[in-house]
Amino acid sequence: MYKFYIIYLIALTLIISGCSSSPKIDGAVEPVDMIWQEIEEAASGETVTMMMWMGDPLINRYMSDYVVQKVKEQYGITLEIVNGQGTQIVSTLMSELESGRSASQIDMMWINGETFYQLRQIDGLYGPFTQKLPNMEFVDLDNPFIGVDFQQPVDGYEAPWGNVQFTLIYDPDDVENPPQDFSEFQQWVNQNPGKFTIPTDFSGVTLLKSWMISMADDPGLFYGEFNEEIYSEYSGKLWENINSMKPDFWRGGETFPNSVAQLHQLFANGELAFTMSNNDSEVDNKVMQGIFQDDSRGYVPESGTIQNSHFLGIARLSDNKAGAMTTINFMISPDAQFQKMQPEVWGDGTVLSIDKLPDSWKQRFQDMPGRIRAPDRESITDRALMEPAPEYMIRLFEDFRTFVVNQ
Amino acid sequence: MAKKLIPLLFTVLCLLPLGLSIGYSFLYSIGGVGLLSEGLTLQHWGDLFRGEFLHSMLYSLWIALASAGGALGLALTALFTLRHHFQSNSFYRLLFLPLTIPPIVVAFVILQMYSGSGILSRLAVQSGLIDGSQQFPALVQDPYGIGILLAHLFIVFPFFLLVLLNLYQNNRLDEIERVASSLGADSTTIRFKLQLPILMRGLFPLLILYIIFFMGAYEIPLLLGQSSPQMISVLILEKLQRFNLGDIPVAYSMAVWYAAICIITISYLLMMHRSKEAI
Repeated sequence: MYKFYIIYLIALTLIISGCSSSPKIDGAVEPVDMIWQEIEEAASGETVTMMMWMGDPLINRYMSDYVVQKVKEQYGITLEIVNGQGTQIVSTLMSELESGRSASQIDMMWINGETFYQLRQIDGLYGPFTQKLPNMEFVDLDNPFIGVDFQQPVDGYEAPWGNVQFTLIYDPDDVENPPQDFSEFQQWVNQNPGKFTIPTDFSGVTLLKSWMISMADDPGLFYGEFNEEIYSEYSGKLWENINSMKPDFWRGGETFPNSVAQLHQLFANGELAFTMSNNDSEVDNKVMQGIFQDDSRGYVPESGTIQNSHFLGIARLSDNKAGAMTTINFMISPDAQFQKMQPEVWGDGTVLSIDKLPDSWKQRFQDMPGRIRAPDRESITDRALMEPAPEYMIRLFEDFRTFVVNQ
Repeated sequence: MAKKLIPLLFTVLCLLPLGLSIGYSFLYSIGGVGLLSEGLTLQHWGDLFRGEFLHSMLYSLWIALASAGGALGLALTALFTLRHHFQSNSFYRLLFLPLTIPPIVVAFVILQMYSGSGILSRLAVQSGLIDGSQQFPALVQDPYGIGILLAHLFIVFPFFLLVLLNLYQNNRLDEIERVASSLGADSTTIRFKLQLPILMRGLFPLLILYIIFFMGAYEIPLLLGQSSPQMISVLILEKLQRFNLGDIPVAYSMAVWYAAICIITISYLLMMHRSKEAI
């Protein structure tokens, strides 16, 4: 009997090790070494798998009804969308690298600064590739909110896809004069107990970041590399203030929603007077979908909020890089960006510089219908704060749990 | 041949992958593998005992014991008081119904019913019992895990009752009751000294398995649990997926310790049970 076990175990070990250590023999030319026409030709017939956050029906519809159809028609690429964001992307690519797989199951992904930082840490991204994309000539890389991602140079490893600013959304029945800075917020929460809270996810941390930066006289203190002293000083003050507000938070601060989706739900139910969004035009979307009440309003307080861009990257182990590059080039085209920017489609801010566009497009972008409940884009740009280095976010995320939630 | 083949298949298909993944987690937790590993270290194990892990383990244990204990208590009460009603076939079949509902759906229903903006709260506001939804007591995402307990009870109480009804019938407890009472035992003695020990002996392994199952519950606490402390599975998964890649080995350490504690506890309890049965 034991002989059986041993033989079986040896066989299995051989099978497992055989599976994992098959180095890829690859003599083919990398897409970054081809000219664009060759890349497009190589892309035809490829099946590209894109991992992205699929939490918003409007965004999903834009992808499935527009992008997927167009890349099929124009380039013969089959684009498959799978659900997954941030750390899920990182952990998928990480386990592939750890297990020595030769080809990734993900070809391209929608990422944000902190995921970019993590993917660079594990060397999971392909590049530099953006210099090859013809549509990059229209991208507004001189804008620091687009050309720099969480204080990190993009270095051609990701292509900007959209640009948004954090906004607070409120119910005018509950909030007559929306608070314009952190101290006004403290007062408001104190006078209206139970009507405000902060989710423990990315959106909540973005609000905390905006508040922390606004506490310093000079936001520039938070730019550049992570600075432990500055972080300790201002985060310490932030926790002190938040803990003094905590008894007046929703549920007396005993628990916090773990996602912005839950926050939206509490806001829609009337339990909360505020919700928030990383996308400045989301309030219009949500009212259009009938989720928020008609009179909900979005605004950016005078003390400012974070404005950032989201990007598209390619997995280093992707077998369909030409297809991914062609798809990304399409997604930053004036056509695709214009479609995406319309409030009823998605309302995502464009990364293109209107000045650089051909005249016909310039006109179309300028004539786009205005926003209804969301703040006007130009008026909030003056109140935009840059994303600080990713370590600030990682630390705030941990410390918010340690010093506020778990207390 | 079949006699040998089945344990062999079980080992190869179940135990081996399990052993391999626990082994991998162990190596990851001490820095033996991992893309960002900087060599062997016990630091991640040390990080476990800073509080979060212990709190979560205790909280999970509380939820598991309270869920299993509550379901057992309810099932026993129902058995002793309403047993005759369950003998009708249709009622008996109804007990299977909750077992067919996925846990996530149960969690969702509980959230709809008992949350601050849920159905009960709205009814209470409309009938003037409370002034606003803020006054409605926290029954989900609450410090004691009431929402989680309710969901667990809903799922498991009928199952425990089914098992108890079968044990009752198979062990002919009705006849034992008749004999004992003709010999002059009063009903309390019959219940607690005769019937209960027989039922408990039959139910014991199942009870232990359910305690372990509840400790590892994921989707129900994810929806109905509060932000801190979290149930152990929720915490481990969150650690694995947080922004800090340095937390990944900590998550693996938690998984290894949690698995070890569970395996040792189950083995010990089942051994105790077997030795008791032998007596």
